[in-house]
Amino acid sequence: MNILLPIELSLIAGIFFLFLPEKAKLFTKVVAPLIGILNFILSIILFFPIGGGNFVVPSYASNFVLTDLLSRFIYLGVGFFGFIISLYGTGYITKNVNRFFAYFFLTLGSAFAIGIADNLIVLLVFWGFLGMTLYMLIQLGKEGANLSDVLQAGEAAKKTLIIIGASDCFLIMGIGILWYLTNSFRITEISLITNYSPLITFSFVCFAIASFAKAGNMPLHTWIPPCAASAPIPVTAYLPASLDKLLGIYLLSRCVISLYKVSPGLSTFVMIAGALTIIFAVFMAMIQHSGRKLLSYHAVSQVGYMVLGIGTLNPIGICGGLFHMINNAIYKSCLFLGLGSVEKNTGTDDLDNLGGLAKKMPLTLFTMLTASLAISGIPPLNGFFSKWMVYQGVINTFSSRNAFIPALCLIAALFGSALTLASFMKLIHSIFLARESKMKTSHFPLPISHFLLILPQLILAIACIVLGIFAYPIIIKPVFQNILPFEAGGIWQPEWAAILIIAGVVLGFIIYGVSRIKVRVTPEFIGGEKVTPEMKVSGTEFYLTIEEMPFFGKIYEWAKKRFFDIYDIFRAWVFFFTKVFRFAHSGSLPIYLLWILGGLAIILLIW
Amino acid sequence: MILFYYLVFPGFLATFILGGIASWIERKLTARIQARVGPPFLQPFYDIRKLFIKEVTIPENSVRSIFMASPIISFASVSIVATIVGLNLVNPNYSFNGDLIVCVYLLLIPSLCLILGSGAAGNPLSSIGASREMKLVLSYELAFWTCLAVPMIKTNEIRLISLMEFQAQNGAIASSLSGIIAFIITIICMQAKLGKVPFDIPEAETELAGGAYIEYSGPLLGFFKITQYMMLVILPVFLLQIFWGPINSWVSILKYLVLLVVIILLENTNPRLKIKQAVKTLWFGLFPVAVVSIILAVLGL
Repeated sequence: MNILLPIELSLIAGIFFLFLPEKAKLFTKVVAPLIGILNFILSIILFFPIGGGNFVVPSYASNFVLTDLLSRFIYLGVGFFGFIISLYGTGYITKNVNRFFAYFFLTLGSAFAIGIADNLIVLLVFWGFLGMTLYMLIQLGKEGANLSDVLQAGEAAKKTLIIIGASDCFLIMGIGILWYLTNSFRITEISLITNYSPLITFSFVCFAIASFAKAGNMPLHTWIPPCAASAPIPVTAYLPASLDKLLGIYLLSRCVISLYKVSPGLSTFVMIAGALTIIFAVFMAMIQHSGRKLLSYHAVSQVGYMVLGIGTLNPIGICGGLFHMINNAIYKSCLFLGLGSVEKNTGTDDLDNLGGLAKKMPLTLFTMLTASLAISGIPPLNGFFSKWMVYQGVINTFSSRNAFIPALCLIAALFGSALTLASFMKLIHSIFLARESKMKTSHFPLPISHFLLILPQLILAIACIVLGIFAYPIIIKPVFQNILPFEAGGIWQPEWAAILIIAGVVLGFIIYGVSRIKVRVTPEFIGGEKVTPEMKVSGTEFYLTIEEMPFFGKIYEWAKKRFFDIYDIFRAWVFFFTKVFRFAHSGSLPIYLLWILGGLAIILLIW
Repeated sequence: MILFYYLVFPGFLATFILGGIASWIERKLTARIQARVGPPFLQPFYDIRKLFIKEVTIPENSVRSIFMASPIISFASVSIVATIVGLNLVNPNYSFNGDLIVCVYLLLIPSLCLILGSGAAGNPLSSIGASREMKLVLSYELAFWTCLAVPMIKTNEIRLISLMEFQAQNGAIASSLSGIIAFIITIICMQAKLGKVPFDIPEAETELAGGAYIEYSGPLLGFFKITQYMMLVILPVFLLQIFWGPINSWVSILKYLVLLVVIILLENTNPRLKIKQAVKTLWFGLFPVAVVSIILAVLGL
């Protein structure tokens, strides 16, 4: 089968929906998920068999297409998330349906294209295009938005475009340098060693900046929180949470695997960038009061693990980073989708006002709890497996260089996972376990849309469990061992552990059943008093102790004032330098005329 | 075979019995320190039996599934660690095993279950207990991992069995300067992980009336108690394997008893900390010292 088929299909579908009038929304809602499923099936067919793949590359594209296992794996991943989000989007989006799906499929097509691009120019074109569709998608804004929400969405979209666009400039620069050095644009033909010249190192840094901005590594992460706060939930789950991660990390791993032979010094810098991202982002996540922002900071923090893993440069670390990329996309989009249904049901993502949803939304509780445990790296779920691989990658670097900085990175990663757990306990507690607050909960308008909202979450949650327990047979042996063979230094047998946990739980229930206990339902005991609604302990107060501590208090205060936001810092600089030109730009016509005449005079003089 | 290892020896049953005995030693010694007589030898087991014949009360606003599943999962996951740690002693070549990172992550699950279970109870006091437990986990986890990095740096290994082999050849890790500093800090973190005084902040009988455990009763509380007994054996043995190996002779039992006595003495000579004090002590007091131990380890000391 033609390997370009999903790309063509998505791009055509995108353009078609773009010109479809909004009245034909029902038609879109039926056709869009079908195209999503079709794309997914096509990408599965193209992926197997693992050894070679079952596809044909058309002759005109043979110089532009890369069909190795890593590329096809990214292809499959893009297809999968396209399928999941197209289902969810159908149930979730109620206005601007056609525009949403138009941009959606354009994004999907370009993401497919980036995944298999061999030519760096092709990659760059679609990379830039993806930034633009992301801009359009964010501008769609929240469902049922008022004016301030619309303005906020515009602001977030602008910020995203500027950060992503600026990083694209670096990508162009990096590609230009590669052309200058090797006279080639083909990924498969280029292989440079970074410690030979500063120019090569600089081009690597350019690529790293582009992939950091796309994936959201610090310090280029600052577009993700505002984007998550104001874009529609499916968009957040689609781009910042899954596709952007896949593509950004894909580019970084390509750089490390084939484009460059990176020197240990540079790799230490990449590792430090990853470790700092993990810690700072997760500390920011802990204090958020809005569910969307909390999740968005985790979308940043998890990138740190991938960058850390890839930065180690050894096979198990890189594979761990790539596996973490897939896992993160799965559980993070699951969390965003879960939050989306909570928001749909209650109209808010404010953790202070939520509570008591466990009985109303048991399935969402299950999916979000599973995904939360997976992201916190609780064995035997998938997040643990990939983190464990990343840790081993870091430990393997101890022997080859000074172990101090890698050790600190390792501690940051390990501790970051406890902090992640903490912030998700807060999330789960505030949304589901805390006492119900006095707010109206609407019900889903139609059972079909309920089904479409819950099905993708269930698929993702089950994927978390399956990929965790059967990681070796499903993904490690067939895929990653073929991309980069590695030897694990530790031992972890999730299949056995899962069987044992089940055996233990069964034993527990047997003991419990044998004892034949009477069960009595009683009111809560708080020393004889009555529990009143004012006593509600929401999860948002959990970490006030830490927020108020002397050292942290200061940092949090600065962070809230956005002292660390690279966008604001650069904006301040730009405004500082353009102050002079602003005097010239006064808006009065005679002065402009004067400028024109003066310029003309100068040109004539030079001539 | 694996089920036997898991359920009977060295997994659940053996560890439970040893844990009961350790708990008796703890209570007896505490009683002697306070000039009381102390309980009879089988008292811990009487306690468990009694819990399993009492009725269960479930708070009306609780999330029942999570409330009831938490204690059982907690006990199941601790049994896995018991199996891994025990198999490294009795049959290290058996096909099921785990490494250091796996064990520490599995040891996190009981705390997690306690947080989820008590959060699900719908009682404000137990929610406060849950938040304190989470903060306690955060506070000790940092110093704990930092100390565990010392053996990793020294050996470049995370398999428990390789760590023990290394120590059999080169002497215990705790015999080096960095190792002993790390070991001492780990013991303090272990106290917090066990939830013993001075780190019994989530339970805080005097102010939260049992805090995280307030709504648990009957067998559900029993499972948590079993978990606690087992932790009292697993954690010290785990630390011995990492820092004070090799563990292959009867002397090792003495080593374990030394650790147990240290736990008991810490418990009986310290007042309970406030949660803020605990976080501050562990982050700003012990963590820098642990970093020093890493620097020493990198320097080869």
